[in-house]
Amino acid sequence: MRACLAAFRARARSVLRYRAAAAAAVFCQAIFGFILVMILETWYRDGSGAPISLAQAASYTWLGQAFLAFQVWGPDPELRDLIRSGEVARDLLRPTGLYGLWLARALAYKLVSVGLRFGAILVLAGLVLPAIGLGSIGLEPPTSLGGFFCFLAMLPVAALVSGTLTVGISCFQFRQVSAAGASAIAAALSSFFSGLVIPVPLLAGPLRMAAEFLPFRALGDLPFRFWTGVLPPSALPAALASQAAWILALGLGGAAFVRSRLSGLAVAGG
Amino acid sequence: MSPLRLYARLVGMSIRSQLRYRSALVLQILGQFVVTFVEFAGLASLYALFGRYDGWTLAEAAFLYGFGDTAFAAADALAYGFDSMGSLVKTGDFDRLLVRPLSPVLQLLGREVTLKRAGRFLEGLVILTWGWANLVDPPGPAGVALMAAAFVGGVATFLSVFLVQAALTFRTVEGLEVMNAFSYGGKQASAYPLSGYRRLLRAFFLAVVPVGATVYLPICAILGRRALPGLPEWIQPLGPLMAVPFAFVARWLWRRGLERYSSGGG
Repeated sequence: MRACLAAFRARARSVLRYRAAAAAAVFCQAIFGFILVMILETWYRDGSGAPISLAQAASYTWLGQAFLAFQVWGPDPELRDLIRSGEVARDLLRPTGLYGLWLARALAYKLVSVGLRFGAILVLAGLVLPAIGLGSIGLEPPTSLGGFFCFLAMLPVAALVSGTLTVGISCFQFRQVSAAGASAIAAALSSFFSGLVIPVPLLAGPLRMAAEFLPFRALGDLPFRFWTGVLPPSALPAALASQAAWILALGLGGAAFVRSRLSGLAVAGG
Repeated sequence: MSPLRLYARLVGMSIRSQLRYRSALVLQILGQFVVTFVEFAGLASLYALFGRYDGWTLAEAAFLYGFGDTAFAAADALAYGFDSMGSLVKTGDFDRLLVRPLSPVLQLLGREVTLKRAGRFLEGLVILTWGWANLVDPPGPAGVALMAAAFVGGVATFLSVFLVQAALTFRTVEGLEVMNAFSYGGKQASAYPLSGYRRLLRAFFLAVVPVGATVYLPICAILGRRALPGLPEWIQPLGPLMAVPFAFVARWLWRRGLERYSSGGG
């Protein structure tokens, strides 16, 4: 456990150094946010009968951009390079469980990435847009204090789901050296089924059911529903239970996979 | 050997090397096809909920969406070399391109034609065809000719965005994430009718990164729609021409970067 904590701290410090990359990402997120909320605004112009209001949909979309770094867009780049270069052999020498070590690093990578990015988007969408008269497509404050607490409670869950999925993608590398194919597909699934492009409550029946079943919803949809009041705080226990099941499944599955692979592992590189 | 024949050889090499891993390639194409198709299903489900988007029917929107996806996928497949400029400059490998008697732009373009992008391309083609088949007034020969022009214009515009990204890499060394806002952002923006955005964003995608001009305007002309209030309709078929000045700006930026470039690695 202490070894994992040290791995977490080391990785967190290395991600913190890439502040320029974070600034660039924030710019991208702002542009995407504007495109997406303007599309929503146009949908709602003719629309009645939508299950959530424009204000809720816009807030949901901005939150998606603010917490974009939770998305599973590929393996932890550090671990990817370690596996490709063969340096991962050094991790094998450490007297710690491999999976725990990697999960700790992935969590640090995710949490610090989110930490560096979310504030700017929240300020832009929540304060700047209303101030310049674009409040109708901006980010509204949480509808209730209870909803906000549920949102906060879901953030560590989001980090854990994101971390276990990220390590899961890295596992593909053990089989194929490159995880590029798996990453591309995971990236698209993750952004679609977490409601990044279209809020999940607006999806049609079968798509919405798939989104509500898959673990990706923990990366955005679930926490954002609590913030925007689409879900009442009383839905928290069920949400936590379903995601805890996913975290357990992903974590145990990943750990078992890593263990089984280690016996027949041929390290690449030199 | 003429530059174009050399380029064709490079492309041939890249394709043959990708075909070495045939099963992985097929899986990637299939995966990409399914995933991009799900994204379109999202658009369709919004239609089920709201009925119309700014007066556009689902068939018209599918026509535009599929068309934009094919153009972006083609440009994305061709632009692999521009995208890899970051690592080329960092490792110093870019210097090797400079000593060869072939334009570095052609060499970059020839590094790889990414076959797995075929997944998105095919998805775009399917959506486009479905939209076409369901149009009340499908395009005639003139419309098809305009579609070809719009395709070339769209691909040229996206390629130019990637070239600007490559040009900026001379200075920043690291690949530039900022440019994703214009490449992927442009793709996202061109998937929907431009008239749905507020003024500033419309102007941006008409004049600065002109994906709106090169794709959206001609598609409106083909569909017989008024593209934007205040824009005369005779301009709409001329939209693809906006790719020309934009490509020149991109080339100018690239040349400037190249002139000032003094190797990055060792």
